[in-house]
Amino acid sequence: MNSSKLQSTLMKWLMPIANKVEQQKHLQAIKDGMIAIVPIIIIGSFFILPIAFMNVFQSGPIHEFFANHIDKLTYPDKFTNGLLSVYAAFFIADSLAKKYAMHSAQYGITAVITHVILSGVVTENGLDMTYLGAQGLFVSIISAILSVEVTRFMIKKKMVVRLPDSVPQMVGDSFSNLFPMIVNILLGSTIAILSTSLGEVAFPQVIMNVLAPAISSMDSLPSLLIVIFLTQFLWFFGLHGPAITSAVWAPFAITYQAENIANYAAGADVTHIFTFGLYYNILQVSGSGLTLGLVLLMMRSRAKNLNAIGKVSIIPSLFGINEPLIFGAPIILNPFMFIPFVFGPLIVTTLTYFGMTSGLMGMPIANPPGFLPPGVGAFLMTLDWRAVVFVFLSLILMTLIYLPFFKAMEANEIKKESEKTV
Amino acid sequence: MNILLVCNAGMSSSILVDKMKKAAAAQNLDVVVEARSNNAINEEVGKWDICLVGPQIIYAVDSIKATLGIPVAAVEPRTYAMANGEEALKQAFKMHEEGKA
Repeated sequence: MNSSKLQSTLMKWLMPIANKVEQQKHLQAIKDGMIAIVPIIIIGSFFILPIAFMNVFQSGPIHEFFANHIDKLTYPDKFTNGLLSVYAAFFIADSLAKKYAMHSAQYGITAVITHVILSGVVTENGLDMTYLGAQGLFVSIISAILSVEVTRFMIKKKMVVRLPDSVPQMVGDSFSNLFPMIVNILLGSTIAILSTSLGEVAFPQVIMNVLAPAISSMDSLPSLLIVIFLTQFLWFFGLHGPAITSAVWAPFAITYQAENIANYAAGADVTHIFTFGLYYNILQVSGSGLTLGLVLLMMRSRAKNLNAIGKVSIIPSLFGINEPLIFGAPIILNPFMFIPFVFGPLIVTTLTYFGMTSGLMGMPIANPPGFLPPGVGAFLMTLDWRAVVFVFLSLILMTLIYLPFFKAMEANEIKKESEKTV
Repeated sequence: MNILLVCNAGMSSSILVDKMKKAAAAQNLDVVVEARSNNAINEEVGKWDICLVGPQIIYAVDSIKATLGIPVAAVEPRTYAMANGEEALKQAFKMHEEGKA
């Protein structure tokens, strides 16, 4: 089989998979809903910074000031990260409902109520919020899907109140959601009560016990390598790697991120490596394939095509957008680029993993905003200058990995260009 | 004519949007062009005549078509890479013509 035939065979095989994942409404809703809470995590991250300041100054007046006021300084953290799973339940349900063309905020709110019932632990003093933050994120997936599916089923079976069309839509929506909401609330309450009375633990704890092996196995070097390999492999065929693979890993990575923040805020050990921030700010910095060095090489190239693409790619690349490079060079289906583009990032991933487990650089404690220039995101994420150094060393390493393949591609390109002009 | 551009995060397609607006202004064409992320297109039903998607999410063309019910196609990779506004506009107008026929 020659290489172009192999490529078209693979493409025939990859496209339907990507298409299936794209059309799987639950997976997409979970992904969209989880990504929708990332801004809340970013904002929450700002309010754990006072803890970092406090830790920088081990003693003295500045330390005392922070220590005395740390509850006030980190106040918003309890209501951003501390209630994260409530927001996730809303966004996942809202996204799923819209995919079913059910356009009303009622479905998101039904999911929120269901979720708080499933995850809130009633105590003598009110509500225990332990499971409403990071620890409740997997339950928010369950609450959202359950409540939307129950509602959808009831609408389909006409088990809802229908008001005449002359009634304003807002009013009509809230009435038609009346019975589905009652059913969801009763269902949630039953599950919550059964779980605490029979199992003697809160429902989220039951779910965590069941999912524990799956949850912990995602945060490992083999999982990271598989995710990065698939990302790069899909991009090589021109398909958006992170968009497709994140349907599976984003819920985990965002949960790890939120758990790290919660642990950091509580003064406990930060344990997770595979966070949302890590993926974009180290493993895919300057775009999938860590291509900044390759862009710089192209900008200096004598091959006209590569030079032109290098120039249009540089600014977007600085902000982590490298579609111009991937489609322009092109990297897709380019035999010269397969090895460095697909396998180079695996080396960086391995180094990152051991760099963090060995303590050579800090773990991801916060989640930085997206689309930041190289190093900036890594610093905001770890608050460790060594992570910034690591990012630049990784980019240099990747440049060296691309270099010989780039030279071969450039020579080929120059040959083609001179043939054209003859 | 209203042209919607869709990519994964609405970032890379916004580069092309700017160039398409410039090309349209230079040719005195009356078009509205905006970029959206793929997960936000449920909000866009009924607002657009043509939808162009970034080649990196070509796999989503079918589902976007099903959601929006308008002509949807992926931008030619080279046009997308160079953010060639004129070419992208040409493609949109061609799709519009074919859609009418």
